[in-house]
Amino acid sequence: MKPHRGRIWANRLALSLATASALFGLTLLAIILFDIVKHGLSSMNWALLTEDPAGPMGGGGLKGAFLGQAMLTLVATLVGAPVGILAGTYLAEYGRGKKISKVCLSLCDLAMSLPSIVVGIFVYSILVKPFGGFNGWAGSAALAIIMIPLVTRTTESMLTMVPWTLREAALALGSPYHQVIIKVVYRKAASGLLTGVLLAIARIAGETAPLMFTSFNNNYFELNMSRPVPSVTVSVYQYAGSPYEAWIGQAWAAALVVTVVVLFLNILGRLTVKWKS
Amino acid sequence: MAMSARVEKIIEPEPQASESLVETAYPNGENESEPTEVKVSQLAAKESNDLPRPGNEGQAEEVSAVTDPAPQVSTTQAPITQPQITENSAGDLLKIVKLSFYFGDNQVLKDIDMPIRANAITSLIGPSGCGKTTLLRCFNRMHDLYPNNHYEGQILMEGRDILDKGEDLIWLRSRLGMVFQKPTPFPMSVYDNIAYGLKLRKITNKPLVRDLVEKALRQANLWDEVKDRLKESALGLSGGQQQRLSIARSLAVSPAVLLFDEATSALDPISSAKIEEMMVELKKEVTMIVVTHNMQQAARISDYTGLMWLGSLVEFGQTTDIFTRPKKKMTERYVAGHFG
Repeated sequence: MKPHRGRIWANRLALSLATASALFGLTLLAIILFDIVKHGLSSMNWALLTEDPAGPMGGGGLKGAFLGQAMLTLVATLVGAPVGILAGTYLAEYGRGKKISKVCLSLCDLAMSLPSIVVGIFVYSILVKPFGGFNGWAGSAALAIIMIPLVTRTTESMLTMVPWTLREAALALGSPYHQVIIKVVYRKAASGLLTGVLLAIARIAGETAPLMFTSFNNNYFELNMSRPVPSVTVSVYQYAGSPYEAWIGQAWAAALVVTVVVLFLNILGRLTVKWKS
Repeated sequence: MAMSARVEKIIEPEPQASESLVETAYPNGENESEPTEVKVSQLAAKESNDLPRPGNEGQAEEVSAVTDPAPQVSTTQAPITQPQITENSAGDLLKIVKLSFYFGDNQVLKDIDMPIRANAITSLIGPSGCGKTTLLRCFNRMHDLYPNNHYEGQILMEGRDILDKGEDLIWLRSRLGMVFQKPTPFPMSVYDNIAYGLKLRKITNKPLVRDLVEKALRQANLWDEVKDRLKESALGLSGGQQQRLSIARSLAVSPAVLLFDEATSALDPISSAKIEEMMVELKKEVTMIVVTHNMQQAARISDYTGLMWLGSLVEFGQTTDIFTRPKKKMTERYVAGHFG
C-alpha cells in the first residue's frame, strides 16, 4: 500500500509544480499584454498611422515609421525567405544524411540563438561604415540575416516530414529530382513552408537592436533605402526614453500596433497549418 | 559490370515465331478464364511502337546474352515438370542473369538467374529480409538513388542490359513503373496525378491528355468512382482508391512492366480483391512482377512464382508447380507455412 500512496503524492507534486510554472508564465504574458493594451489604447488615434511626427507637445504620428518598418521587413523577406527555403531544401534533399548538412544544421541552430544586436553590429561594420552612413539596405540585410536560419530550419524540418516514398514514387515515374522537389515535395509541404516564413516575418517585424545600428531612424518621411529609414521599433525605443508625455503615449500606442501585427502573423501561421491538413 | 560471356544473339522476337502460340511452352496454371494466348507478334508490335528510347540504338542490335541460355531456374532432379522456359526466350521480356547486389560490402542478392515472361504475373515470395524487394528495386534502378551499393550481373530487356551504367534511368523508369506498399498520391487533383507522368514526357495536348487520363483510370478500375471528382484533391480518396490511382498513374505512361512492392498489404480485403482483379485484366497490356507476403495472393494471381531465401532464388517455376509440386524441400515447407 505504502509505495502506492507515495506515487500518488509524487504525481500530485509534479502536477502542481508544472501547473504553477505554466500559470506563472501565462500570468506574466497576460500582464505585459494587459499593460500594453491599457496604455496603448489611451493614446491610440488615427493620426498615429496617418501623420508625420510632431513636436513633444503632442499631435502628429508615426506614419513614416510604419511604412519604413514595412519596407525594411518586405525587403528582408524577399531576400531571406528564398535563401532560407533553398538552404533548407539543400539540407533536407540533396544533403540529406551527409555530414556537411548535419554541421550546417547545428550552425543554423547557433545562428538562431545569436543575439540580434550582434547581427546589427556585424552589418554596421560591413554595410554602414564603409558606405558612410546609416541606410535602409543595411537594416534589411540585418533582418534577412536573422531570418535566414529561421526559415532554413523550418523548411528543413517540413521537407523531412514529407514521406520519402512520395519522392520515390515520383522518381519511379521517371521525373528528375529537381522536378520531384518543386512539383511534389514543395506542394506537400506548402503550408508548413508558409508557416515558417510567416513566423520568421513575425520575428523580424519586432526587432529593434539590429535596426539601431543599420537603418537607424529618421524623423522625416523617408522611403529611400539608401538613407536612414524610420522604423516603429526604434521610434518606440527613442520615444519611450524621452521625457515628454505625448511621445511616451505614442510609444505605447505604436508598441500595441506592433504587438497586434506580430500576434496576427503568428495566428495566421498556425492557422495555415490547420487549414491545409 | 562483368560481361564475361558476350554472345551476339537477337532476343527480339523473330517474325517466324509469331505463328506459334507462346501457350505451348507455357501452359497456364491458375487463371483458366483469362485470355492467356499471347501471340508473339503482338508483343513485337507492342514493343516497336512504344515510346522512343534515347541513345544506344545501335547497341540494341548487339545483345549481350549468356552463352548458356538456360537460366538456372532450379537444379532439379525432375526435368519433366520443369517449365521449359528456355525454349521460347522470345516470350521473356526480362532476363535476370547472374545478378548479385551489394549494400556496401554486404551481399544481399546472390547470383540470381530468372526469366520474366511477358504478359504474365510473376510473383516473388519469401520471408522478410530475403531480398524480394531489393530484387524488385533492381528492375527500375531505385537503388541508384542511394550511395554505396552496386550491382553485378545483368538484367536484359529488349536486348539491352538495364543495369548498364550508361542506361538512361528516366527512360528506364518510364518503361518499368512501380507501385509501392503505401499509396503515394501526389498532393494535387486526381486528374493532375495522372497527367503528371504525361507532362514529364512532354505530352501536353489537352484532348490527348484527357483521353489518356481516362484510359489509365479505366484500366485501374477507378474511372467510375472518380469521374465526377477529377478536379478534387487525390488525398481525399480512400486508401484503396489511392492505391488504384497510383497504379493508374504508372499505367498512363504505358510502361512495359509494372513492379508491385506489396501493393495490397496495407489495404482491406475488398480493396485488395479489386486490385487483384484489375491486375489479372492488365496482363493483356503489361508484364507484372509482384512482391508479396501473402502466399494466397501469389497463388491466386500469378503465373510464375519465385521463392527467395537469404538473397538467393530457391526455386522458380509455374505457380501451380511451386504450390502443389515443389521440387525443393524448403519450398514445400515454406508454402505449407512451416516457416517464414
